[in-house]
Amino acid sequence: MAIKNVFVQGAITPEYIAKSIANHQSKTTIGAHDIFLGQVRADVIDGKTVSAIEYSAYEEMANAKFHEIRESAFEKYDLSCMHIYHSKGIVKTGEICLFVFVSSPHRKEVFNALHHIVEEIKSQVPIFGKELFQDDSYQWKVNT
Amino acid sequence: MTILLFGVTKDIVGSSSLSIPVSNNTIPKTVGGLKQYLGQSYPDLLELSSLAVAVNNNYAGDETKIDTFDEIALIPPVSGG
Repeated sequence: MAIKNVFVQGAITPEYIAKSIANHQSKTTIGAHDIFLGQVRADVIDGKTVSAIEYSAYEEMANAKFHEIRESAFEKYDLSCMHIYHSKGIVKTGEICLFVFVSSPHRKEVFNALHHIVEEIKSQVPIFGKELFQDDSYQWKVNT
Repeated sequence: MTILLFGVTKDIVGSSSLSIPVSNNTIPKTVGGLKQYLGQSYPDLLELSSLAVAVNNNYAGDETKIDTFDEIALIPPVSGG
């Protein structure tokens, strides 16, 4: 299977997410979808408020890691399909930077698979978020 | 030998990649050796909460051998999602 490009420029729009859901209405063996949306938080750090996150990545390796995560999830869980999108570039607070969409005939599979996939993304994929503050300073984010 | 830099490691070194001249006979032979070598010039790299090295798009342990034709990258703490 070819390695897909997971990255989209800027925020992932609610319209895009709605369209993705609509695209699955013809797949009638699916009985359950689950969706994870990562949203940029306006954290306050040392009195300064985050206004956006600028994402960069080691794209070739990141896409390879997404591919590995996808393949291993298909092996572990009974999934009908799976879609992952991650932003690159600037995403403002309140906007969506990660969209994971899994589908299966039954609900248990999607709950478990989604949890597993998101944790793998957060810990394994070489993506780097630069938290931009309102005063033009920044700091590199670290996932906990 | 070229080392690709990402995230905060790019800021520490001040560039998006770093070259180690092959003529240099102290050229590191393993991932662990590379970290030590870079730590001498850029001690801030070793202060990071984690510093992984990827060899040909895979995370590699300290004992992994490296060569000039490998694609090598420094991976600071990740923060996707």
